[in-house]
Amino acid sequence: MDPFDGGTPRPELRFERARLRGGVTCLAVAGEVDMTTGELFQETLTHALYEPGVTRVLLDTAPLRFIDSNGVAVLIKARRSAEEQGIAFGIVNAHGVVRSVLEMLGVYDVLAAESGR
Amino acid sequence: MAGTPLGGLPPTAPESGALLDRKFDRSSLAALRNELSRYAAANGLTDLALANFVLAVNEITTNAVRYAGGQGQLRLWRNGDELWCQVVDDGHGIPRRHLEQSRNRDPAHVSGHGLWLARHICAGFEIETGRASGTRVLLRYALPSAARSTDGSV
Repeated sequence: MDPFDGGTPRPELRFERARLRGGVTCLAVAGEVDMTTGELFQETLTHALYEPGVTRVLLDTAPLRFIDSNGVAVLIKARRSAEEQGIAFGIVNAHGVVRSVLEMLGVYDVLAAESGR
Repeated sequence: MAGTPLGGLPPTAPESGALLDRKFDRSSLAALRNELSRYAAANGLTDLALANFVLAVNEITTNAVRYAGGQGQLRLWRNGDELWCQVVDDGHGIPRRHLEQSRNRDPAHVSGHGLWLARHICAGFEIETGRASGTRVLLRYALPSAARSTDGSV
């Protein structure tokens, strides 16, 4: 999607949510996570984790173009919050710049969804 | 900036030599990333090297918006085989403990890694900050050798 809307580029964040069998939610996130969209990012993740009957939340970051260190902090908080509730939380399809920032901050292994679970 | 004591930091770019010179605030952070990306790409940065440069600069501009009065000024210029990016704000400076975390971060902390990340990504990271003088950060970023003959105009 063209970020230049009416000549004024603005960050945007969009989600697509799918409920799979067994209480699994797949949340695909597109756009950019920066200080202006970080709050929406956090609220959406929290909402997904607190939905009744959820056992696992997978965050698909394939369509994500940008995430800053604050956005990574949101992911770590979501991971902790999920743990406290006994819910599995993990990222799938972290490529390019998203994977790079997670690796630089040393949290990729912690956040990547374990496959086959 | 002439006449301002700037310690060990190299001089700012000459007004006419800057590729990009922008005031920014919260509403223009994303636009600034796009613009910065265009100029950095025109100077030969690609893929992850380009993305990481934009990420590093964004951490510094975000700090200015978040902690230093909501605005700042970014200047980008080319110096030989490097891109130099200076971000200036007139906030109340960065506390000493945060500066310390930019060198030795504690991975157990959930947040506060922005300065460390910028320092980690860039070939050079210099900072001058004070309660009365605001903060000036200079990031130096190496261009790939293949790009060193381009003129960098957009």
